[in-house]
Amino acid sequence: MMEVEIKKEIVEEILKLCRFDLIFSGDEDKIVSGSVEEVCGVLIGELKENKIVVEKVRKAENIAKSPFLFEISPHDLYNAYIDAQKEGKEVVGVFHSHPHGSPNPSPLDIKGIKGTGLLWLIVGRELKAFSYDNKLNKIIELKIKIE
Amino acid sequence: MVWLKKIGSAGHTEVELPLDVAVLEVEKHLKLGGIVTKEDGTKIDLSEIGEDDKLILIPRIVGG
Repeated sequence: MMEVEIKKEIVEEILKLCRFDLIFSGDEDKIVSGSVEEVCGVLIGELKENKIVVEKVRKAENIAKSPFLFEISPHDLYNAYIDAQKEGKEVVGVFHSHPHGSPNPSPLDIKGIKGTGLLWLIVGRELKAFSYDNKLNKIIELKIKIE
Repeated sequence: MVWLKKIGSAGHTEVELPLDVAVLEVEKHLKLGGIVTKEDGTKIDLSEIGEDDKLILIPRIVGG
């Protein structure tokens, strides 16, 4: 099963960028409060056999400037790509916040996950990760391993 | 031949295509709202694509 490996500091950085707070409490980690507009960014790291390793995040401008939508600035995406290349890494995914709480993908997210093939990290009341499985021809939720 | 690299698609897709096929691929990408740049980041129009170009296809990433 595919999983996402991500360091706790990176998770905390994402939550800070999204203006969310995470209460680490064992199995019931919950994220509380949030920003008004959706916040988005790019995830940089490595694709391994059964694992996506997220090593770095870059905030990107949400050119949709909306509490219900995000659109990553192509300029920011390009810069993230160049930075990743310089370090021998890849753009492995994107993250965005759901200020209204649900960590599940919206219909537009589903379209984006399928269309881009990228890891899609959603920050709502919880942190969830999704990607498109070509073999199964469907969106799958990935296990997040926080180290 | 034109070298195209598309960001995304579960690992970046890299292909070398004949000029006419590459132009069609780029046109399709632009219609989906993506942008196309040269390796140095400069944007390029469809009409400017030439043999031996190396292009990066950056997808439009939208969600909700």
